[in-house]
Amino acid sequence: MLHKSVALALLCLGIGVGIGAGTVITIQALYLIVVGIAGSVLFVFSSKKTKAVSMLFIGAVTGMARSQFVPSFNENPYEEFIEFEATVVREPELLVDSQRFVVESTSVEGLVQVKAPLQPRARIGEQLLLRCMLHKPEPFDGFRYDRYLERYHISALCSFPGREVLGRTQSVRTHLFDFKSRLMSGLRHTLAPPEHTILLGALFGDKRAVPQKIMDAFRTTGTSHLLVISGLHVSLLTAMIMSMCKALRMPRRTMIITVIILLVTYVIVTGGQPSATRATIFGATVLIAEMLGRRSQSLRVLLLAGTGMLLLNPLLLIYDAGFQLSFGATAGIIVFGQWFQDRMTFIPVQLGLRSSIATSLSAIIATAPLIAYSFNNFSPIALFANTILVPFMPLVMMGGIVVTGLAQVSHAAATWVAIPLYYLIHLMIRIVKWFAQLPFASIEIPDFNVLILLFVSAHLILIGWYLAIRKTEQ
Amino acid sequence: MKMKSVTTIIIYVVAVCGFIAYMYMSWVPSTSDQLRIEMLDIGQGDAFHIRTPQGFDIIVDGGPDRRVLTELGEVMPPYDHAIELVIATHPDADHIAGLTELPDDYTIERFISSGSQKSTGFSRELDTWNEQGVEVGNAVRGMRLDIEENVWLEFLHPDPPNVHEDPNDDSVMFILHYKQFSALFTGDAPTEIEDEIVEKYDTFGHSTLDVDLLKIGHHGSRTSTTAAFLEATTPSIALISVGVDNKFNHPHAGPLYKLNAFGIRVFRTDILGRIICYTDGNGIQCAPES
Repeated sequence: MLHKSVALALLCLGIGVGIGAGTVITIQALYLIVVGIAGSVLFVFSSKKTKAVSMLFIGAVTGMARSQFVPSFNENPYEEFIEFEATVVREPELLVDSQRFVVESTSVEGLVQVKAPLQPRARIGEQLLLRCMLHKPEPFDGFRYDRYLERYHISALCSFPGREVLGRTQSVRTHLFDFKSRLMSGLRHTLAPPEHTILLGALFGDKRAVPQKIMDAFRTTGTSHLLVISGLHVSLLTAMIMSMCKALRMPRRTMIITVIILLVTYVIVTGGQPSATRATIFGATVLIAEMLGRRSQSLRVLLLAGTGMLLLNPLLLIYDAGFQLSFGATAGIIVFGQWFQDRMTFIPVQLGLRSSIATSLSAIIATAPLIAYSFNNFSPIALFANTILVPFMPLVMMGGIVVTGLAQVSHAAATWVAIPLYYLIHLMIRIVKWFAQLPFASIEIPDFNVLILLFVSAHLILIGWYLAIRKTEQ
Repeated sequence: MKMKSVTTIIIYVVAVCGFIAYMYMSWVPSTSDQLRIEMLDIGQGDAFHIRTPQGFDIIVDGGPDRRVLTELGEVMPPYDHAIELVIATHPDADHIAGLTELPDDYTIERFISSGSQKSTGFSRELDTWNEQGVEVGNAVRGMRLDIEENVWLEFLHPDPPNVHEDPNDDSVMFILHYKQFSALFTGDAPTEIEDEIVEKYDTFGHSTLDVDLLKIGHHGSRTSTTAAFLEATTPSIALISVGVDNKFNHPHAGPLYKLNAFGIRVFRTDILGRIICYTDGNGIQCAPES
């Protein structure tokens, strides 16, 4: 009998493969039905080995079928100058010289991404009268910009429109947005830029806040995950909440429920951004599995969470580097983390050094092929940079939370409390810049195509599979 | 086990001591005996930060976008989030667009502009500033603004009610004085206005226009910086705020040639990045940010 955990893993893998294939090719529904029925029949009447293949089959057919139901927005009045009423549904992203926000309108299928001057700032819930030429997103330089936007249901672009504010709807979401804006404003007025931009990214998910030069330095050194809400941040937040719960002597079950409630609240307060939601789902599921004493279940939980997200939005698999990297890093840490730790006995355990290096190395190995494929580079110093910089993050985040809260009560007090935090982030940025200017800080890999990616990823999956099976046997 | 915990404690103590030493070495005192003028690296546009010996912050123009915020963060002390005075020389986007972003990160106390109302977006922003308690006013020829002991501003232009159609013609021009040192800021004032200033300088209380530092008008465009103006102002240092490979080809060869002919040392942001000038009230020293 096929073990149910293996069956589940194969099913998830199949769905992933199916969604991947189905996203890039169109398949007739009839073929899918026939192949799906064949797979089911095979599963019921076959031996153990064939059952495994049929499980993969059923998953692939399901994935392919799901990927065929991605909405298309061909009916929109593209390349026409139109006037339409719309509501701002996502908070604006501030670019250097403009702002970008997303609106919803009854006149347009899907969402519209608007680019506008920096002032006046758009706010969630604002009702606008917009006048602009509606453009269809087009691919450029081999990058499927259209699908990239479509993954979040954006079907049209509107650049520098005529804009009139008609009013603003009041809802829980707008109140949450205003609350978040107030927190961010308090932080901005307490901690100087560019240092506060690191916290705006790490705590509030404002990934555009960090100036380009600093962002480039973090990218070059393979540490850009520190600038967004990632699994690392979620696990740090969870650790902080758990420490508080333990100090309050909460029972285990209450502690888990508290952690979940606070993490969900955090995601909502940060605006429910996809990247934050994803990191929280991945990070929290694994942590909670560990907290429940079921560390061995982590990979299964992660697979289920990832597959669930793909079934909800199939375009994430191919067109969302953030999804790929988050999933890859978390899976890498689960599969390779302990294995590396067991073999790194020469590294001292003080200050969590061994576990930190093992975790960074696992995440780097798992994400390196994706980074090489998506961004055509690899940072040989990523491990060193991460080993030095990751230990800063608990202090930076804890300090950020304290200063953000204190700024709402007393600006003067917060300003002085923020000074050590400022210098801590200042030091962090200096270290990153120093690493970034080293020769070979980043190596360009222009020829890393999809075939190499699949080849390397398949090997990583096989190694991971082998390690997981060996661990189970032990 | 005991040995391990001792090692951990030692590591913690060394880390904390190292961090305190880093803070001490990086600390910026709130007061000094020097006045600092910084030409910020904000691309094609103008943005200057002046910090007086007593810690009074003055911003002259804000550049074309949000880059001014990062630049200010790097030149202002981390504990100082108040800008005591903002001067908008004229309402062109490459001078004022960045100013509208300042309230995101800083508290502004006073704002002075040329009074020209070209940009409706900026006018709307100013109304908001006014509601937030920012003291808003216009520069007027002959106006003197005392900042602190030994530091004052003397406004040379505009000269209402003589309002021009082109906002450049109404650029705020002022001299910053600190003891014996003086610096002239010109916005985008064209040659006609330079001539007017040269012609009239001794009629509004100046014995001379002689300055140590000159902010070159209009990013070194050929429409500014006459030989007569350089002769009257006699700067030893000229600052040109200009973007790398800008579409206007600023600075033009004419003004550069004249500056060279007068033996004036030129500092450009497109070549050197952010420029920092220090003065103790007598001489002036400028250098690119290392």
